[in-house]
Amino acid sequence: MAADQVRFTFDGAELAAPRGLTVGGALLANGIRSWRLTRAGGRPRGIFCAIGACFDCLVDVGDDRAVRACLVPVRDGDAVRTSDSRGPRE
Amino acid sequence: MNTPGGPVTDMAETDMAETDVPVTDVPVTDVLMTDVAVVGAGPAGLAAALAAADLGRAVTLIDSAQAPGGQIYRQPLTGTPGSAPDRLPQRLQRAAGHRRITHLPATTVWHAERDSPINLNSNPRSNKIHLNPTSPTSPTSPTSPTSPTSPGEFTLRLTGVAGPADPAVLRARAVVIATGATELALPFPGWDLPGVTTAGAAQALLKSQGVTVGRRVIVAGSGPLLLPVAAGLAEAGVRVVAMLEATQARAGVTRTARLAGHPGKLREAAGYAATLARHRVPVRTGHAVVACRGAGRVEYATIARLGRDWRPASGTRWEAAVDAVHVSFGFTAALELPRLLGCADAPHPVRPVSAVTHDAGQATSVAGVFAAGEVTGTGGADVAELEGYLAGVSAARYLGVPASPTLAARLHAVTTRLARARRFAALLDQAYPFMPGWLDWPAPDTVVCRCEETAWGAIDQAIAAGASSVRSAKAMTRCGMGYCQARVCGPVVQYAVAAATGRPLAGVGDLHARPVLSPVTLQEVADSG
Repeated sequence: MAADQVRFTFDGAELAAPRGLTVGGALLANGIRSWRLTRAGGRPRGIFCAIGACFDCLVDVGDDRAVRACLVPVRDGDAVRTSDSRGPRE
Repeated sequence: MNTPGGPVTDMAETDMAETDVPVTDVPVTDVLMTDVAVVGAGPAGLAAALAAADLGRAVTLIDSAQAPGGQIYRQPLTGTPGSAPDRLPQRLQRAAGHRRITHLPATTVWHAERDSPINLNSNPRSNKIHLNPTSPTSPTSPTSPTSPTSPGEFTLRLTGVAGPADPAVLRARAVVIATGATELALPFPGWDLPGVTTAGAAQALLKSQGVTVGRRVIVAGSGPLLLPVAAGLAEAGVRVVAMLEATQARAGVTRTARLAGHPGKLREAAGYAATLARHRVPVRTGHAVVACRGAGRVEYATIARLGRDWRPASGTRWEAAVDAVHVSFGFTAALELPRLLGCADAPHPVRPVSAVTHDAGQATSVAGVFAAGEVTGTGGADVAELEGYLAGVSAARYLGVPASPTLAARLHAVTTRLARARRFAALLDQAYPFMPGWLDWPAPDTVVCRCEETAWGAIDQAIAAGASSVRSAKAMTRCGMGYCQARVCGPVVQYAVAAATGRPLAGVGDLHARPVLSPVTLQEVADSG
């Protein structure tokens, strides 16, 4: 793996992305569009505003629950998981 | 820029040691003292920070992004050079090395209080919320409460984008609000499918990360943002199936720009149009994406021809296969922080948005609080930067920097340029009229509040049941009560309630974020004193 690549997992699958991307950017770069299911309707959600305003892109990263994928940088070894939508960072 | 944790933060330890409170009762909080807190590091915030710092004031610049520049000058994260018009100008890059500017990246304000040690009784409507009024952590209980330069006029409570912030508390003697705006997005069936994003999102992802949402996309909506977004995506190799501007007379934009004598702006628009032509991107005015569908993501977009009022003309719909749709209908000022501090704002006459009101020096209705950039209304980067300069100077003057002939001459020059830039912004605002016909786009089961999943039909039912303000609609439907605190659906619901009740936009109220502004852990609340 090249040094300018970050290795991470999404729901257990091993992925890589260029270093410096956000979690949301890294998922999109891997062709993944959604990583949250809404609380009531179970609707899939991903990036909508990309600037931290809409909270659509909430995702679980390691021990952090429901962080904004559009703001948080992806790091080596991150275990990114589909958010279960119970609430931000409880 | 300085990093926090230097000599300034040592104040906290020193002052806590001076209190008589047992150490065990002192919450674990790092407090940073500053003269001017600038919230937002776009062109307005950077210009304000530089102006105040150049006049000798200590500035702390808070921004939710990793790198300064805001949305317009989004800096590439991966070393990909940004396209020329987007690169942070040299004059603003200077903030990065300024010894009196402390930059707190990836940080947001989750609460703000006006301490007002001078005029406590004269501000009965102060938004002061003391989580712990007797807290000993106030690092510098003013030794001279009557002094106009008493420190600690404002307390900003901070959190990081992925966890607690350090410092967690910022005490400032003046605040410049340069929080910018978010995009106004209008609902239609399928607008919450993955792959449908704001146009600004597509631009932000491309500019800062070189990432695209789709390979075959439509850019749609209304306003001057659509051109650069569509052009940027086409240049990046994305197949832009169409750029759809809801307003019909696009020629009017170029005409007004020429009439106003803004050849630079005209050239910029012509450059984007040439890029779209080179990539054979069809540009259609008077059209919109009025529905999207797909299994778990957008696969098809329904395009409709619109009447002048944006109502879809009958029998003119067709579908296009796409894997992303990027929509934008203008901007809505980020009013959460100004409202929390008690700053007055005023509604736009026809758009469901409001903006902070201010005087010629960018002073808001609250002493010590200044506002600049999109939070005072959509004006673009030029207006933002000039307003930022004025706000920074005003904040420094507020903190005792004397007037000088040099400063007066500079202020005069900036004010003249600002008047010209504002004239262009006003022309653009008129060139893209916001029309009511979009109310016909959503279906009864279209989710309008994306957080609480409130359906468009539920808003209609609430209005039919007597809701005549957005607050009553919110109470009856839960719209606007979710994570985003109505940042997305607030303007939509405001417009819908006003239209259905026949009342003016200003007469139905609006929905904006209230404390707590950003999700925080209870530990952070407990620690913040």
